[in-house]
Amino acid sequence: MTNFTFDIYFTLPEIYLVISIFVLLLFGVLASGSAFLGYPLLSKVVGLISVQVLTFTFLILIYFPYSNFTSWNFFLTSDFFVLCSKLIIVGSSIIWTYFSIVYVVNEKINSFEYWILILLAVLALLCILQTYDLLTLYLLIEFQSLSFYVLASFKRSSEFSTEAGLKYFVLGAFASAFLLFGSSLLYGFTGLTNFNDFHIFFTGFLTEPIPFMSGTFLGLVFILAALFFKLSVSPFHMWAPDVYEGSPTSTTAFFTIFPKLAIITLLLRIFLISFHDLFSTWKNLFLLGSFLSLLFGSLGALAQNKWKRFLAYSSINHIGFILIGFLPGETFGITSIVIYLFIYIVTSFAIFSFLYTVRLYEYPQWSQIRYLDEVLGLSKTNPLLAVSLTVILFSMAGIPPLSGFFAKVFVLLAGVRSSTYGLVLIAIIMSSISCFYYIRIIQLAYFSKVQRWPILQPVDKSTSLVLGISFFFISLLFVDIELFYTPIKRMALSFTL
Amino acid sequence: MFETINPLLLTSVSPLIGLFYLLLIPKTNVNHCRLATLYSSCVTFLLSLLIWIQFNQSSPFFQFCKTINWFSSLNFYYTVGIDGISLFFILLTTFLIILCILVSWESVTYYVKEYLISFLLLEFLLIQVFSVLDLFLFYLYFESVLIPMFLIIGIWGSRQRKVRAAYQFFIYTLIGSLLMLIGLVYIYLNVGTTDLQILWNFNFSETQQILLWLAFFASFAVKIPMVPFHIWLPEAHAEAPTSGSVILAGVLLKMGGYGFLRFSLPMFPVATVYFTPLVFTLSLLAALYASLTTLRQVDLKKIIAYSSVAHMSFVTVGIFTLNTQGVEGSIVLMLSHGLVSSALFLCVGVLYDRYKTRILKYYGGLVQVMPLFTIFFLFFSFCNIGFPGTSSFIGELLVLLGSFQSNIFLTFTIAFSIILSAGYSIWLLNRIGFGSLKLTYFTLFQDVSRREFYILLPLLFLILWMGLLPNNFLNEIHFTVSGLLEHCSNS
Repeated sequence: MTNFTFDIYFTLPEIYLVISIFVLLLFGVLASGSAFLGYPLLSKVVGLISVQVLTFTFLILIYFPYSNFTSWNFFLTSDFFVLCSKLIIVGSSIIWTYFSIVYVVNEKINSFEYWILILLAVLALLCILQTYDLLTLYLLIEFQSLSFYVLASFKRSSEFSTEAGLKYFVLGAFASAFLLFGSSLLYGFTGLTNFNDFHIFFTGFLTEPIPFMSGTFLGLVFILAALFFKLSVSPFHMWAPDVYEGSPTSTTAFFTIFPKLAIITLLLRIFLISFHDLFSTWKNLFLLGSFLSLLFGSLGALAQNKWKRFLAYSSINHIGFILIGFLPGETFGITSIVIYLFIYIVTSFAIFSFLYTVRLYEYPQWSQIRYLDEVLGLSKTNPLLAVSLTVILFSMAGIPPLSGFFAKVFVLLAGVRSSTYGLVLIAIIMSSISCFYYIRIIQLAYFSKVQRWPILQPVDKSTSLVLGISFFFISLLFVDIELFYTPIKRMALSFTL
Repeated sequence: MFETINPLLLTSVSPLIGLFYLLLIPKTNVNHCRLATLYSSCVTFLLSLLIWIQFNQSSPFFQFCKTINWFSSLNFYYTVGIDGISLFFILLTTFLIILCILVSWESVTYYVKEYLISFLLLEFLLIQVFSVLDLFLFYLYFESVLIPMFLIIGIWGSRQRKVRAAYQFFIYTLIGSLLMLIGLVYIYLNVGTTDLQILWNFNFSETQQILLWLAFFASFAVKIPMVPFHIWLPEAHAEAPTSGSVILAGVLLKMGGYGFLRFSLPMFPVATVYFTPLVFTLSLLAALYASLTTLRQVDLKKIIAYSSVAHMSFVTVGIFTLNTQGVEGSIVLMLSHGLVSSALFLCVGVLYDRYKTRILKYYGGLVQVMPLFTIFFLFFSFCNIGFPGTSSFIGELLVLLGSFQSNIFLTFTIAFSIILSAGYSIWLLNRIGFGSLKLTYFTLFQDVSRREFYILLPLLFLILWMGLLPNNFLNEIHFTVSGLLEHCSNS
């Protein structure tokens, strides 16, 4: 029953975002090319306006919280989980844009198109949350990836950045090709593209066999490979350290924080709704992905001495933990995934705001911190920053009573519930290995003797605000976890309806 | 009104109040910081004495209980309570923290405020470890203790290998604790709650008990420490600052023994009996090996650290004998070891403050120039052996009585380690205190100052009290221990 009447209402946030992107782009092009205005640099202006645009999107989402619909001929869907995820993504993007303006101005990335691309990427991520069809899946993944490719290579004066963007583009295009191939296999063997149709088609798989099972599964494996690539899950994680390192740091923060939630939602929808009855076959794929991610994430980070590569491997490690939550295949697993993602987003905000603020003075300019060793002596030059770094790193290592511990406990609960004790044991061992390299940074900041004292720039207002609030959250989550657990549980329950 | 206020809550909160007050003092005002911390820890100690005064020694239940609704949708409730075992550990903690703060009055000169904050935080966490009645919260606080200790060892330790020692301490304890986490998660999923009294009465199957006991053993064995996992202890003790060593030896090692008594024995009685031979063997090895290794050491703190390993092996023997004398002996031995080892570390701290070295060959003949110090050191060395009249004699006697009922061969062989402890203790005393002064190295000497005297004297008094009138302490724990053992034998 295709009724297009309410579709515009349902997709109001996205439509508003699209129109405002076009208006901003027009404004940017016309104003910055105008001789009358003196060819102004619009980067900061467009950045601030994009914060405003995202705030209005957030408000639209709050005042018109439509959920439980499918729109555009079953191409997009929504439920409570999608609504909350949209709120999280738009809220996080407001915070991200607000505190990246300072970074972009400092690094002299002067094109206003940066913010346009960010808004486009946010739009793509919002729509990815809602995909309900293989065609939409491919289109939106491509949309998101294309904005990401350009964002990675945005700093034209740095060949590092260009290289990162090119690597991401080539590998990402290859992954999208896999996605397309998998979708075509699925369509070829079943004749369906809509996830709802897959859900109906594959129900009852356990009682009656489905023809062309191996072909369908092959298509599913290809799609999963492509989505694992986007998430930087091992064994498809090779692009992540190079791309994360080469991109300007604000883009790295964007890559770390935002795509994870969107693509995990996508994976949840595909595997826990559409292909739920094939559980026993795809469970092993997630098991393998999780195991390799934990292994390569921990062991890779041991050898790093640059901040952004280190954070890339650390995020691979975190994704390994998140994938354990897929294994029970029930509400509790979903809850643990979303809690871990939420805490991971806050911790990423904290660590990236730390990376933004610490700028070292090498004549004649302030340059951002690049090597892990440059944290040396931070306890004396900026003790407050050193304390917050310590707490953030202990949280990433999973030490109680900080929030990272609770994230890991929930995921391990999900793992033990699904009786995959081997994987839980590996997760624990890798967690203690990863603890070592997190502590090593704390050791550098506190314990070591300093030969050359770094000169640190004072922290500016927006970054310190983000750092302070996320630090507060990380250190005090244990007081009232219930405040976050109950809505997340309600989110996860919407997958069972 | 005194009947209605809960002294346990007051004791738990008072380090935090001290901590928040300390945060407000500017860090340049070092004296004010130190005084504030000292007063706060003294107030905590007095409040914990209130717990002892109001403790009802003929009640087998948990006393001063309080339950807070922490995370009710997943069945986690924040429950605290005291019984005979935890009472004395809390008193030991609050008492030793005062000594730690006094010890660091002159020796810690940089980052003083952060140091005092770490100690107050550590005090809070330790009180919570010994009073929570919930497995998950116990694990939470058990691991949280690592953070302040890591910083204390790493920042204020002595120069040479402090970073390596801090790492070893942290990672060893972390791996053990993480293995316990798997056990905890499994228990939570099977029982539905982590409340202690429910878990005590839950019937785990034999295989479950064995695997879970092993998971918990991994964590407690590293903490106590038992022999294959003891390597972090000499390093951590040697490189930590004096007060860090005091609190490490005095309280942190007891968390392992407390964990055995509180969790492994009542929850997994079948597995406890199953693994008793293993624990006895490891303890025997620890007692003999650690005592013999002590004879070879040249670092003063390492000698006392290895003797800690030997004494704690007595404790594990006592716990696993599963009779009243053994368990009560292990508790008394834990308390007495907390006092004696802390006292010995404080004595070594006195020497280290003066001469900045812990190597044995530089010290000799100190009785001629530091007689008061030698009297203290002599007394504490005799306590280390288990000399009658001191608390460790009571503990070791009870443990040997208990293990005699359990395994005669073990009793005879582990009693041999008492002779070895006499060997290293008296030899150490002789080398430091008596003989000729090493005037080629040191020429200026000063006896114990008033502050150090006031630190060492209460320990002497408490050890004598516990040794000559042990009933004051044993009376509180009779009911709890007999309840524990009856629970174990019924299952």
